[in-house]
Amino acid sequence: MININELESRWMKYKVKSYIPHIFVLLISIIFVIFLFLFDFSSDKIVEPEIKKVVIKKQTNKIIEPSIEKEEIAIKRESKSEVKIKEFKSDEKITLSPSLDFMDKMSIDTVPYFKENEIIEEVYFENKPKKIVKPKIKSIEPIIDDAEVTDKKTVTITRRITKSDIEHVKKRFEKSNNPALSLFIAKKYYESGDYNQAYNYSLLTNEINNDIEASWTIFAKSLVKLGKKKQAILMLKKYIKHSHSSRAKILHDDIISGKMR
Amino acid sequence: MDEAIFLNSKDVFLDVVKAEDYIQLDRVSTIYQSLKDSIMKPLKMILLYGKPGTGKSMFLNKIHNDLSSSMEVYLYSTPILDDSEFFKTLANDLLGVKYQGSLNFTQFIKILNHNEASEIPIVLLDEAQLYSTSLMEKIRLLSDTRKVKFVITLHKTEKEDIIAKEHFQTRIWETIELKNATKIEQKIYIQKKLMKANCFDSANMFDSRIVNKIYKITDGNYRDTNKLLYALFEIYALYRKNDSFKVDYNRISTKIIEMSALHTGLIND
Repeated sequence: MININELESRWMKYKVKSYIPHIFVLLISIIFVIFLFLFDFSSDKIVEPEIKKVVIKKQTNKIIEPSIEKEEIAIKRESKSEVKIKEFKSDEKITLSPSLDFMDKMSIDTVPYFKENEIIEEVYFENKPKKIVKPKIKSIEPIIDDAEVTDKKTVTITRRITKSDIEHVKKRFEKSNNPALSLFIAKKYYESGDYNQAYNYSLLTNEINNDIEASWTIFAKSLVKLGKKKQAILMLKKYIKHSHSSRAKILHDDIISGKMR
Repeated sequence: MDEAIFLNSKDVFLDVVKAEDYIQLDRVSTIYQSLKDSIMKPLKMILLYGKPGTGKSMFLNKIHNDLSSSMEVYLYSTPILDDSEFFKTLANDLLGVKYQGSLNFTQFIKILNHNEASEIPIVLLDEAQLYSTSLMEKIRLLSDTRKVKFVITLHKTEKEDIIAKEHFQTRIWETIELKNATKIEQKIYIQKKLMKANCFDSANMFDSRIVNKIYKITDGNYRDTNKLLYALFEIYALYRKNDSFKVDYNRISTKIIEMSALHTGLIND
């Protein structure tokens, strides 16, 4: 009989206990926030973020045209240029006369405009020259069908199933439950003379898929080898009735006649 | 809701193993069908294992109920721990031989070989982890004769896994594992159980939120679910009887679930 009042008081205790961790965490959070708040107000330092100067460098693109006989045009700005002003003395007489010599001296060079006393920092813009990627054209070599190949290298493959290989296949079977794998294992065990295991794995194969003739064959042969001839005959009869397999019939006759021992 | 409704609902969750109380769940039905199919195969032994409260005994009961009319099936729910008693019981039930005095394994094999039975009897052994190591060996040897087929249930613990491997590793057998229910399965289980007993009002009280709470406490274990809900409806019936206004009788409350869990020991205060 349940005592409701006692159960209710137990429930209250349980509820209070279950809230204790939450209350604890809440208190810690409140204390932490208060601590942060107080700590924040007590500091007088104002820290300004540092402004970093970024210098962008640009490399000039050189254009070389071999056909045109022109000098290289380089775009530069000089670092500093000061215009020297000649101090003219008031005593000197200045005579101005036009001269056409400038025609001979005329060159492509242009005189950059600059302001007095202005210091212009070198500004270089770095630009990586554009690479023109030419597509690789594979040369098509003519296929020479040389029928007379004298040096033929032969590769011989020798198959040898070791115990570790069977174990590996077993693991694969356990994962995949593929009847082809269990049949393979059954065959290998039969060939190696382990008729017990051959029987086990052929039985497993039949459970997964009972239409595999080879599995029934191994199953019956294993039973015969284990001395269970009657059982083998009985199983084969049932299989033959179901599948009408000629191979199973031949095996059945062999077992009865004593050819299969 | 009336007190009687709560009392009827409570009785639904009595922890009794009866084949008629079997609840069909999709995944569980698949496992049950595979168990039935395995019994038909030419296998020596079938192992049904899982944690306590996952439905192993219920499965054996259901199998026995379904097959006993057409096949020779013998269910031993309580383990017979004495070797001689075990063989004497088998000789009596399977072969109709009443043996006076003690009967050992060799004598039983002789009796078995003399008996030309038309079909292989199936012996269902529940709680096989309680059998001694030597008796388990003899059971294995009996299964090798292919004159008796065994379906045994074991609790899934490390120790039993070791025993199972040592004794049966080289034998072909089927192993079927039973697990706890998922949240959805638990909800279906509770509702189907109540609806089977015509407790539709109670069944409607269980929504996903309530089932989540129950799942958290029971982890989907069928036995624990039965225990919890039995206590739950008992508490509701008591409140109703005293006409208490503390409780809303039209819905399941978390408080009552927690009180039931405290009462049954599923949670500690």
